Amino acid sequence: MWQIVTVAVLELRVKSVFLPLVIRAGIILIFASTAVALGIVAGSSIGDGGVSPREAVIPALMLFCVAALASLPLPRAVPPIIPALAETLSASVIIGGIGTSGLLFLPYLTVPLFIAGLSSGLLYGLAAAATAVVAFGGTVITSSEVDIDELNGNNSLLAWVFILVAVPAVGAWIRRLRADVAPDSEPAYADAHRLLSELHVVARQLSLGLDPRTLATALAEDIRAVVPQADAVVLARSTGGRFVALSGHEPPEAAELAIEDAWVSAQPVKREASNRAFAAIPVLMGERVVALVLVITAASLDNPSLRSCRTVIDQSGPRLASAMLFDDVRRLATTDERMRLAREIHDGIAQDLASVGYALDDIRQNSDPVVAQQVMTVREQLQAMVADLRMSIFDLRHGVNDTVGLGAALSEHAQRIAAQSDLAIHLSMDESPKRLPITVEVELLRIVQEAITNVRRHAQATNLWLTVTVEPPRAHITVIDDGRGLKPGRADSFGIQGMRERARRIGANLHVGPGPEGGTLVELGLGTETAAFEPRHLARPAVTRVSLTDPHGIPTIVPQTTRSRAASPARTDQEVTN
Amino acid sequence: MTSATANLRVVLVDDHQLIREGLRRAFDRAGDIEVVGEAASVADAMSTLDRLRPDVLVTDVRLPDGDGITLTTQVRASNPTMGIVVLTMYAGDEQVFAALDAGASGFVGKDAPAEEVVAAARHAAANPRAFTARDLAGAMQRRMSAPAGPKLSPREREVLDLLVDGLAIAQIARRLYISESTAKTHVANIYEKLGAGNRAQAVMAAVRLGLVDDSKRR
Repeated sequence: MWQIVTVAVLELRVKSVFLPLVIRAGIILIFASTAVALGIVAGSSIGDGGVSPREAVIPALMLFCVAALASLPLPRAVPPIIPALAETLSASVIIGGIGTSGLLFLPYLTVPLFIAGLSSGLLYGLAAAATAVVAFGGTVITSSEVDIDELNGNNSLLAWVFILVAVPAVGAWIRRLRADVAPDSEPAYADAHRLLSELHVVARQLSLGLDPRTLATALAEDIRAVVPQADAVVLARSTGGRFVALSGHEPPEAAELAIEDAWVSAQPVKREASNRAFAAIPVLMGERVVALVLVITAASLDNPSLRSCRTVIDQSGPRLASAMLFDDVRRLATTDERMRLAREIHDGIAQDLASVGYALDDIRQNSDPVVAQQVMTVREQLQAMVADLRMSIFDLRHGVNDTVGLGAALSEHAQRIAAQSDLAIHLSMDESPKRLPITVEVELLRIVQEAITNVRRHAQATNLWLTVTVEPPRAHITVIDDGRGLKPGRADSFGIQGMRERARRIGANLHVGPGPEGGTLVELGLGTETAAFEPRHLARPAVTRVSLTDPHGIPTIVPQTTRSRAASPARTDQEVTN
Repeated sequence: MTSATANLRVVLVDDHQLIREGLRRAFDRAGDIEVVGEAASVADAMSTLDRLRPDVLVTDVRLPDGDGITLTTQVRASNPTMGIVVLTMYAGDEQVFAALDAGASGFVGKDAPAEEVVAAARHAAANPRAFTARDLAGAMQRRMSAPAGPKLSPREREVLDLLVDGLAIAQIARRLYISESTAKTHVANIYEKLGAGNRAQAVMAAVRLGLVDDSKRR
């Protein structure tokens, strides 16, 4: 009977520690009303002599009062061990003073002890247990009416002493579990902040910096140092699930399956194909595969070499992963800022200009033909300005993402321009189905956008030839116009400086100069020694031609039969059957 | 075409007051068109449309509490005959197709003269379900010429072929010398790329996208 009551009290008391105020108030009410009810029972039983009030009812009443008091909410400044100790002390004294039937009430002591362990940990819990033992023992010894031998029938007193020590230990253990399950979010932020600060310092001080490509090259060299005669390629997963080399050349097709299996299984995979041996070793960050190192050797890699490769990778992995993460964070932050700028232009100056345009339309309609003609001229200029702003907003919002690659983004951009300006754009695209890392694609797109904008605004050209060749990890882009050429002082103007900075960021070479037949040439080489690629690429291998032939600004697209590298089903089938 | 006696009733939705004023004047000049209401937000627009039931809605894309494309979709769902003209400062094929998919009748850029908006509103009243936009043909061509569809990796293609042949995960794993969990991951990736929830949907999607080569079927 008392055991059941004890369990109930314990549950209510634990709840009173961890639950909101309303529930606490209810619990206090339960304890207090139980105490009042017991008081009434005690009062009535003193008269008829039914139950011995001194032996059972009055102690129970007192204990419920103690429980109610201990459940009272305290200010935050009071450590929770104080009420628990007070409760332990008063309950021990009450139970110790009862006499022989005190054993009945001993289970109640588990309540404050458990709470002490749960709220303040093992040391405080044990201190509370010691308090209980001392207070109970002291009370029993000083109270003349209690016979210790009688109390200690069947050694139960010793058992209880043991229990009183075990209970706070259990409470403390549960407390630790709770701490593991529900970590405070503050430390997590503090950790993140510390990491970011470290990254920031590292990014500024590291000899290699935090550039994924540089780090990947260093990693490949480290691998070659431990396994001579090996060729190492560091790969990252690019958009569209394709793998792209961060350093070195593209992996041979024979290695594709090894690469993919290593990526999916997060385990090193060894395979042999076409008299070469491949070992694909994942670079792990926790559980996640962030990159992959492909080691290419003539004969299969023996286990010691594989182990030393893994050691090298485990050492450099975190740095490479951080660099890639850093790159991505920078890209996301930039995208955010561009979106904000686009909104600002869109909601402000662009709308204002558009409304001025509508006002001019009104004036034009209501004026005589001569004035109307003049207004018309202004209106057309204004329309060009608004179209230009629309273009700028589009450029700011438009970019590459997981589904839109560099080629698609560039051709859409070129076609927009062709549709909305007097510039005929001749586009030739030679794009491998593989994609460059998205951070590289973004920069290339921005450079070309800037180059085309320059032509549109300053060159007074009629034709623009945009030639794009993408063969990851290499790319080559030329923008040639037949306009009036570079004016002195424009070579390092704001736009071109921005292009140079972007090119430097991705390790590309940029050349801006006079075009082959007048006009201007902007040439960009990625993964090459100079901006120039191979001469044949200047011969414009047209895959898609876009030129302004329609008076309504509809570009006509004339696909030409060249070695199109677009990812057609036929091409991918070839890949599979090979 | 509307008769001269019945005026076209138009509601303008744009958060920029000067734009609304300019357009209102353009519609007033047209003579047979009446701007019966204006709204500056999606919420305003919904209640105004419910109250006035105009023939044509002219809406901006970017609105303070949402966007004109969503508004178009909502209006179209309950009203198949209202003309809807989407007016925007945004350029790009995506916008045109978003307006088309939402069920708009016309799409006009904000750089175009006000007369073009009026013309689009007339067209929308006459043919609410026939979409017009400047450079629509060009946009269509561009969409057709763009390489579309998900790209599967070579290993995913192999797994897909075996899936189409009806092999179980365990059999696929054995056939390709990979672990079952690896095979499962490949299958999950394939489902994700094809937007499929199960094997049947994946096979259907693969057939539809031309990813399954009949000559390879055994």
